[in-house]
Amino acid sequence: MGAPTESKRSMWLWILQRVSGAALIVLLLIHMVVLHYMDPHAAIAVAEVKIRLQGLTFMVINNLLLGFVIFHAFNGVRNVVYDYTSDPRKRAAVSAVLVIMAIFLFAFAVWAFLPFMMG
Amino acid sequence: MLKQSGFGYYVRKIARTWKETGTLAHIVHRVTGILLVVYLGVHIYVVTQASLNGEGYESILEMFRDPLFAAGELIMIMGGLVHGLNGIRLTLFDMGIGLKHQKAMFWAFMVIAVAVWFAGLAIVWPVIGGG
Amino acid sequence: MVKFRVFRFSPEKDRKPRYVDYNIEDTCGLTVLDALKLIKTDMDPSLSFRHSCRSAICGSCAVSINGKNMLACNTQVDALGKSRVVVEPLPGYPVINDLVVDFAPFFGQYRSVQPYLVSKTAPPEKERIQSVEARKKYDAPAQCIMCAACTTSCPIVWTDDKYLGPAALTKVWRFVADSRDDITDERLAMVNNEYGIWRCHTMFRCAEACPKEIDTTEAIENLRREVLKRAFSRRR
Ligand code: HEM
Repeated sequence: MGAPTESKRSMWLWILQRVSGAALIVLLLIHMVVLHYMDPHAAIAVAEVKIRLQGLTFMVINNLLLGFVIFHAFNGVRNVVYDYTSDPRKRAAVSAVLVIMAIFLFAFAVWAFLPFMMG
Repeated sequence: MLKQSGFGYYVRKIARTWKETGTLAHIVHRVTGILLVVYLGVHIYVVTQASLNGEGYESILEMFRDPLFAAGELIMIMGGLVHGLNGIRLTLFDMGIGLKHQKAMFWAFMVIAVAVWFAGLAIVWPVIGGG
Repeated sequence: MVKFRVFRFSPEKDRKPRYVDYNIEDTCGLTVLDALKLIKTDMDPSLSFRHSCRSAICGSCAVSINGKNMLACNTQVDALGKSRVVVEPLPGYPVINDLVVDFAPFFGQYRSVQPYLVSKTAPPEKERIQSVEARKKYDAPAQCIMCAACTTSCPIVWTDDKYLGPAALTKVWRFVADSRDDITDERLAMVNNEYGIWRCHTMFRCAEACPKEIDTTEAIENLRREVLKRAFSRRR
């Protein structure tokens, strides 16, 4: 019988896995169409990446995509691990590692693109 | 008593019953999900090189022009389509839609995945095929 | 002729399971349970399996037949349309002997969800009458015979021994859907956690295994939506 906080957490993570999945359909579609299909001949050169990232719309869309995809991916891995072990201590340890990795990856990606976003 | 549980047992048992459509959908969803996570890691690394290390990035881009890498990317796109479309199927079930037609829905979504994949291929073909 | 390939395991003699073939010449009109009994009387009296009512009510003869969980008494051999029938114990739970598995985890989880009606109103003179109309909501889940075909078909149950599993979850839905039951909040709290409804991945194996054709997968989805409905209506 889960404590109320555990209930809330497990429910919200489940909801967000579906919400982020739905959001990813839209965001990935934009990502693919804009980057690869609108003008497939355009090379993905550094300068172009830079210009693209400077628009406000793109900045918002890209960071949303980054956030949602990292949440969805790491919570997905958490779900897989939870299915294969019932030990609460192992589960908590894996969760902690995944949270740290997710935050690090998000921060790293934003930091790496900061010079581009700022122009 | 003879134990019938644990990861090894799970793998052996699934290997014998994976043909059930619902099970197949789950396994395909799980495998594509994990592949996409690995791809995400590589992708973020490569793309951040554009900002962190311009020359390194250009050399990576050069590597990606290799047909082997192009094929890899195309496989990942198929993986993404299959995962995303089955994800819609699962989310529909969670909304109470289509539970009675789960098998037909799986195959219908897979047909859509293949169709979208070929449409995408047709668009980028002049670049990857014709150079 | 049908060849029955039967899973054998004796804890005193075997370290690993063995598969033994038994041929039955004429299977016309035979259920798999009849075949097992024939094997036991005519060929090998040491074969162990559970059975009782022979009419799909007691829920004791569920086994894995050609890889699918079914009631042995409810499955005609000829209807399987195979010349080889593999009979194994239910998956997931420890094997005690041959086709007999340990149901302790199953009943442990079953008991933990208070599988009985809890009413806070004063006891009536005779019984708590339910209308035909209101009963329709849980007609199907009320048919459960606790054979464990659903729960043992679920791969999550094989690797997560604390997961409640489809039988216990369907039982919870049966009482949540019952208008006479007064502890819906407690029931939903029992399943709203990391070992309950959120672990299900809608593989439909449980619903497909159910000999009573209860849509157990739908029952779990119904519970999820009930939890979500209440979580979001209360906040306002
Ligand atoms: C394109 C839109 C996407 C949708 C609609 C979607 C949907 C879903 C859904 C509904 C689940 C839960 C499945 C379950 O509980 O059984 C899930 C799981 C998962 N997703 Fe996605 N997803 C999408 C994209 C992605 C991407 C881009 C990644 C990787 C970066 C990813 C990685 C995962 C992983 C690892 C899991 C866990 C696998 C499992 O539990 O079997 N998904 N996805």
